[in-house]
Order: sequence, then C-alpha cells, then structure tokens
Amino acid sequence: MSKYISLTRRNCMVFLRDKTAVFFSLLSMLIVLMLMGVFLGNMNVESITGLLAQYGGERDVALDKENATQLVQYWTLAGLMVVNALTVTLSVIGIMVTDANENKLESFYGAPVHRNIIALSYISAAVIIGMLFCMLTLGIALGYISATGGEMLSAETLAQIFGYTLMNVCIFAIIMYMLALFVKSSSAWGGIATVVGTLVGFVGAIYLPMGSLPTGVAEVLKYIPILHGTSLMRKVCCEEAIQTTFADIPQEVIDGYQEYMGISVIMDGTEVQNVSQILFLCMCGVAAFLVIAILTKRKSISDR
Amino acid sequence: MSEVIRVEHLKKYFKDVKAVDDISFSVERGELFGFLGVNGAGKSTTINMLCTLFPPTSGKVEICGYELGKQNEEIKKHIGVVYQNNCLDKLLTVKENLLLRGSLYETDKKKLLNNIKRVCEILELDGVIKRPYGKLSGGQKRRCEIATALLHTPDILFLDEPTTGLDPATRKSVWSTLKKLQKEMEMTVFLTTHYMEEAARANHIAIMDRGHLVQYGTPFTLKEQFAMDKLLIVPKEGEKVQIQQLLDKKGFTFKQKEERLSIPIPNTMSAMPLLEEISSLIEGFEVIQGTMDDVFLQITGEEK
Repeated sequence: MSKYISLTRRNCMVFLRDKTAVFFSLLSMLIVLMLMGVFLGNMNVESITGLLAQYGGERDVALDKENATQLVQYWTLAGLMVVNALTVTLSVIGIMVTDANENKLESFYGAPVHRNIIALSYISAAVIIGMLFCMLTLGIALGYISATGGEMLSAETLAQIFGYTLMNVCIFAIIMYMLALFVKSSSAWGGIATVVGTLVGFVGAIYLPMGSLPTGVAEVLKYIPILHGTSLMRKVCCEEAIQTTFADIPQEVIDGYQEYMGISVIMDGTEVQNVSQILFLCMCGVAAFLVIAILTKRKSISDR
Repeated sequence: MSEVIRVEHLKKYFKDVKAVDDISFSVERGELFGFLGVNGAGKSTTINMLCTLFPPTSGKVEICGYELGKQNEEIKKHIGVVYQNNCLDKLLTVKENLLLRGSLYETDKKKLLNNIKRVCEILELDGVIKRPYGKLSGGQKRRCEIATALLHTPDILFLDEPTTGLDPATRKSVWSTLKKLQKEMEMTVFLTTHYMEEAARANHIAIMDRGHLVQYGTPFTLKEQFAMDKLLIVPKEGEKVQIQQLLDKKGFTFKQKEERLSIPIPNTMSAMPLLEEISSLIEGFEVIQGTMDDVFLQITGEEK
C-alpha cells in the first residue's frame, strides 16, 4: 500500500513540477474561455434573449439578459469541467508514455512492486490531478460568477457536480491509460493530445451548441462518452439557472432549448435519462478497463 | 566461496533473433564479475533476464538460492540494479528520488532515512542531495543511480555499463566506489562494460559474442591465453634487411609497420636476448604488454 502511495505521489510530483506540461494540459480550457469571452458567449446569450422575447410576451429585458448571461456562464462551466477532466488526465497519463520511452518503467518493474500497482499509480495520479484542476476551475468560476452578481449553486448541486466530475475523471483516466498502451513514443502521445485538445470542444458540443451542428455529426456525437459527460454536468450546473431564466415560458420551448444546447440528449425521439447516461459512461470505462487487463496480460506473456 | 548466481543453458529468442543462445556460467559470492561483449552481443538481454524484467525462453537461473521465474519477488529484494540509462526523475531532487525508490523496498520511513544517509555517505552525495537530479553532472547522476540501487543493501549489485559516457576521472571515481562496495560491504558486483582496462579489475570475466558465451576466466588467464606481448623496433637506416633475415633465422614472425617492425613475443622478458643481439642494428625499441583489448579483439574476432 505504501509503495502504491509513493508511486502515485511521484507521478503527481513529476507532472506538477513540469510547468509547461501543466500549462498545456489546461490549454483547451483557456481556448474555450477565450472563445466564450470574445464572441461565443454573446451569441449564446442572444439566442436565449431571443427565445424569451419570442415566447415570453412582456418582459424585463435587462433582467432577462442578466439571467441569460448567468445561464451561459454555468453552461460554459459545465463544459470546462469535462474538458479539463479529459485533457488533464491525458497529460498525466503522458508521464507513463515518457517513462516507457526513457526506460524508466523497467526500473520500476525491477523493484519488488506488482506491475498492476504501477499501472494503478499512473491512473490514480491522473485522477488526483484531474480532480485537483477541475475543483480549482470550479472554485475560480464560482468565485467569478458570484462576484459578478450571479446566483450561487446549492450545496446539493455542488455535491452532484463533485460526484459527476469524479466519475468523468476516473473514466477518462482509464480510457487514456488504454490509449497509452497503444502508443510507443512521446511525440505520438503529443499528437494525440493535440487532436483530443482540438476535438474535445466539438465532440462535447462546447464550442458550438449541439443544435447548430449538422444532424449527421450530432448523431455520431451521441455515441461518444464525452457528450454524455458534458450533458450530465450541464443538467446539474444549469438546472437552477434555467428555472430562473425561463420562468413563465412554455415547457416545449425549454425542452427545445435544452436539446439545442446539448443539455439534454435526445435519442430515438426520447430524452436519454441520467441513469442511462451514467451507465453508458461506466460501460465505456469498464470496456477500456477490460482492454487494459487483456493487453497487460498478453504483454506479460509475450513481454514487450 | 559459494555460488550466488548460477545460470544454466539460458536462452532468449526474440521472434527470429537469438539474442542469448544457450549460455551457462556462475558467479561467486563477493566477487566482481565482468560481463563483456561488443554492442548487441546480448549482455543487456542477459542482465535484464537476471533482473527478472522478462522471462527467458528456456534455461535455469538461480540467484541467491532463489529460482528465477518462480521466486522473482524474493530475487528482486536481494538485487540492486543500475540500468544503462539514467532512470531517476530530472525534476525531482536527489532526496525525493531516493525516497521514492527506497520506499519501493523499505516501508519503514525511519529505516529508509537511515539507509539514505548511509548511502549518501558512501557515494559522497551529501552536497547535492537537495538539488534537482536533472541539474547534476554526468558523474553525479551516475553516483545517484548507484545510490538508489544500494538503498536496500542488496546482496548482488548489477550494473549495465555504469561508466559509459563518463570522463576518465569520473570513471575512476565510480570504479573506486564499486571496489569499495565490494570490499567493505562484501557485495557481489556483476557488471557489463566495454572498456577493457576496466574489465581487467574484475575477479572473473565472461565474454559474449553474438548470443554465445565464448570465454570465461580470470583476466590473468585470459591475457596469458589470448594476448601476446609485442616488441617494436626501429631499425637503423639500411639495416632493415639484415634484421629481417636474422628474425627469419631465429623463427620470429614479424609485421612491418611503416619504419617499425612489430614482433610478437611470448612474454616481455623474452625480448631481452633478442635485443642484445640486434642492439647495434636498431635505433630504438618498445616492449608492449598484451592488454585486455587484445584479448577481447582476439576472442570476438573483430580484428581482421
């Protein structure tokens, strides 16, 4: 047990000491923030105020705008939580690729520690660092939102966010570890990081709302775990804001908006329930875990 | 003295490459064992198998009385390994590195700290213990690597080319450390190298060539057997032919190297009578003792 803790601590330290690695693991988040700040945020706010003006009759325009801004902020926050869960775990798992490349892994294998513990230590480090950065993001974002006059989330909601983040981070860490088993060089891993960092914004429907994507693309996304991860997170983050913003608006309009923004996911005409989404995510995690187990076993038989 | 490593008919085949092909040897307790061979001869493969990193294709190996393949965990506890390339983390300090590596063997923190103190004294690392590993010089790094291998006071220390890439002074200091360890801690030292003058300090040496073990013995016996001493003479102008005739008559073979004649002789003393005879015909001479280089080249057949 103490060996596992030391190895995990080592992996965390190796990652945190590498300032550039930390920065680049957060790059996708910074890009999302920049895009939102520059123009996407406004677009999203306007689409809400437009809806309200269309269906809400006589309204307080200034209040609507304030509510809408808050809703978009929480919507963005939900996206960030998932982006970070993905890109940070990816960077941390990169340590393993580097270790394998520099033959450091062998030096761990030479010590009296079971190989599974070593593997687990990389995944755990990814989970710990992933959680750390997600929680930091959450803290800063909530600080910003409440400082600009926004409404705080309830304790219950915060607990749910924490739970979903933990789930996302764990599942992504396992998936990333599985990917890493196929990668032989650090530069290849860097390539994957670039692709994932670029695509995550689209795949999670974070840069562009689900509704503005072509139907075909949107359909494909529904089979990728990231979208469901973001969807779950958005439901929790936006629930309270949606209620305030869309007060006195017909339910169909709200449902339409939720689908358009990728808050709820509709498959075969019905909304996918939270439980199904959680199950789907867990199944992806379990599948990746099984692949890891099989690969590791085969690897230890044919060694290298 | 008892045998601490016994290798019988060890083989390792990688697909169609026979990296190690049926080698047998034994190492005695407390000795310094040199394992030689050109690049790609199979030294590292052998050492990695002995260190339990990957299983042999076939063959039986016993280390400290434990059988390789069945009691690997026990073996790991009794050996320390210094790998060919540096394995410590550049961004962590020497102490952090030592703490991590040590904790994989010793779970009692107090004992571990004592071990670190002791090892740092032996390897004179006290001055650099707080510095990041990546900032150290090549020699200091190497000493740190050896320190990590010594933390759990192993019975056998394996070193895979410990002095490659170091300057002569550092090489010397690494060697004196190894000698000290072997003497004071009665540790068995098993090392690979391709510096032949270093190998001459071993108690026994084994030479590998293309997967086979081609020679085994003490440096002395191998030198006797394979290295010829040489007499170089520089004839006076115009006397060359006469000397050559004289050498032919006496049954000496010789090679002409520019102005000089190179005559292989059974031992250095046998140069004396010959020199007396031809002293009036030569301008100068040089007697060169056979070196380990000669042994190595002779055995591996690299000199053509």
